Amino acid sequence: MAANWTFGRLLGVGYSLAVAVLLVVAVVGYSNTTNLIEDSALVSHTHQVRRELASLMAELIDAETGERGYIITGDDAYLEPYTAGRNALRATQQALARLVADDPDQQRRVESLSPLIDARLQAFERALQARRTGGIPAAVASVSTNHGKELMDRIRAIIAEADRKESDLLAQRASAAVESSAWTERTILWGGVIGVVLVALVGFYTVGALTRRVGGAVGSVQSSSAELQSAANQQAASAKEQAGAMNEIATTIRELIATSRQIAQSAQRVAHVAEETEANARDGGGTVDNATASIESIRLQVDRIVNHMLDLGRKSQQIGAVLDIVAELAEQTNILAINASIEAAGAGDAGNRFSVVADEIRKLSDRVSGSTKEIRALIDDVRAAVNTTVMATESGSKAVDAGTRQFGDVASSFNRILSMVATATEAAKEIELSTKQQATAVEQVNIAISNVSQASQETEASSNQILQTSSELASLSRELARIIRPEARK
Amino acid sequence: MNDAEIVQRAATLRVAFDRSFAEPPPAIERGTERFLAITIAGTAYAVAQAEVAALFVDRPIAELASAATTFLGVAMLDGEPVPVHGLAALLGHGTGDAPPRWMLRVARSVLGLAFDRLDGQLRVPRNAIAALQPGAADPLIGGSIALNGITRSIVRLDAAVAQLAAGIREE
Repeated sequence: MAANWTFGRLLGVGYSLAVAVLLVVAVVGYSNTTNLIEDSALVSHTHQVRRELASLMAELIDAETGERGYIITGDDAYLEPYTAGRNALRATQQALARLVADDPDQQRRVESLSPLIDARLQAFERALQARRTGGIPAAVASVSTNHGKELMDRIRAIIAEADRKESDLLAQRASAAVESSAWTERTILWGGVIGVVLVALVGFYTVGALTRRVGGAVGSVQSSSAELQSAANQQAASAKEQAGAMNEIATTIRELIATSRQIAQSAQRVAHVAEETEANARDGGGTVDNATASIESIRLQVDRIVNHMLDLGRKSQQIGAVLDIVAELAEQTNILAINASIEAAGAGDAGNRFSVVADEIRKLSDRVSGSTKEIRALIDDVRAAVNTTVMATESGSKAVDAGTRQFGDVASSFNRILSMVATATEAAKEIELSTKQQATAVEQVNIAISNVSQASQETEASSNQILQTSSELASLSRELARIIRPEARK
Repeated sequence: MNDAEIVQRAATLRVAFDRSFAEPPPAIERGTERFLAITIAGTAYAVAQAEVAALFVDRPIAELASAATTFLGVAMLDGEPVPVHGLAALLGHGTGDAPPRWMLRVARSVLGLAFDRLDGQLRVPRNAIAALQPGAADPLIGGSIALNGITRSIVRLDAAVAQLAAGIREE
């Protein structure tokens, strides 16, 4: 059950038991001491009563001694003890009456002494008076009555009885004081022993429990401090790495800011160039329209040229046909001339002149044939040139058509370029604006990163502080463990 | 030929044509032989004009069945049907893909010989004619003519007629 008690409850219960025992011992000791003090006071009272009784008797004796010395010598100097005793008797009687006020028997005895003492003092006065007046004989006669002696005997008897009574009381109070002292000693001794035993038990149990619990707690603290130390190490390393990374990020962001500014400037230049490009593209579009009109005119001219060339080709073909006829005629003429020459040769000398004519005709036909060949070659050249020209012009026409289409494409491309350049201009302006906003945002990020970097450095410092604190905590826990468990000292 | 050359050529032709009528008739040349320059299967040949009766071109040939490989058919020459043989086959060039366009009628014989092309009429000095040595390989070649850098073998039409006649007799 006590295993589940808290330290406060355990210490409270243990020390409550010890305090209770000590309280009992203290109360008993106090009571006994009080009784002892009272007994001692009563003993002292008894002794004081006895001293007052003895003083009363001694003062009476001093007065009697002074009386007898004066009677014998008649010298007043012998009256000094008498006077001192007579004067002290009243104070002693009063003190004695106060001291025995709590004891009726002793009070009665002290009251019975007063008339006797008064009577004795009167007897002294009478003897002294007799001495002064009658001299020694008168004084002797006064003393010889034995009245004084009887008074003194009765006074002595009463004082002796009172003293015995005080002596008996003294014996009783001494016995009570001894008994009270013995009880006090036993009480203190056994109470102390019991208290010590209880305190020892409570202390042993408490120390054991505290050792176990505090030891466990110290172990936990050691483990936790080790983990905290490791975590602090890791956190310090991480914070250091984070601080380094933050510095690198800050450097990168500064470069990014510079790059963003350059991009903004480039975007501004791009926007300017795009505007100029848009103007040039618009001019180019107009130029393309003019060129398209010119190309259309060229295409019409080329069509005319093609038609003329085709007509020329046809005419050349007709010329060729006519030339074929001419060539055939020349060939037939040549054959006729040859045959005429053959016939002339067959006619002998009569045919010589005819042979000459036939030769001339043959030569003429040869020239015509050669000329027709040359003309045919020329016509072929013309036709080839016409064909080449037609093909070239057709190719040119096709090229012009293609050029027209391409110029149309170029015009539409220029229109698209205009649109795209406008879009690019807007995009460049947006890029410029966005880049400026981005630069501003990046500057804010840079500030935040600087703050984070500073926080990382502070975290690193805090981690180092935690590491130092955890190290101190580990050292303290080891020290505490050594204090709690000396066997654990290693 | 450029424009200037054409103009120059036309002027030359005009001058030659006009001169041909303005000049006196040339004298009759002596010491020369007349030949017809022909081409057979790409080879230049010459035929003595004295052995030719007439020259024809683009005359239709009616093909007839014959055992002779040189026989091409029958053509109407000077109003009478004449058997026509190919000179290319006679000279050992074989028969070409296309029928010969030109044709000559052999003098003093009813025979037509077809050939590919007429190159012209030649008047050859006799010193330019080289006779073959006896015992030559081809009996149809009777000599050669070297003129204007071209050497032409002279085809003996009489030998061709004799060869064809001998062939006909053998059949």
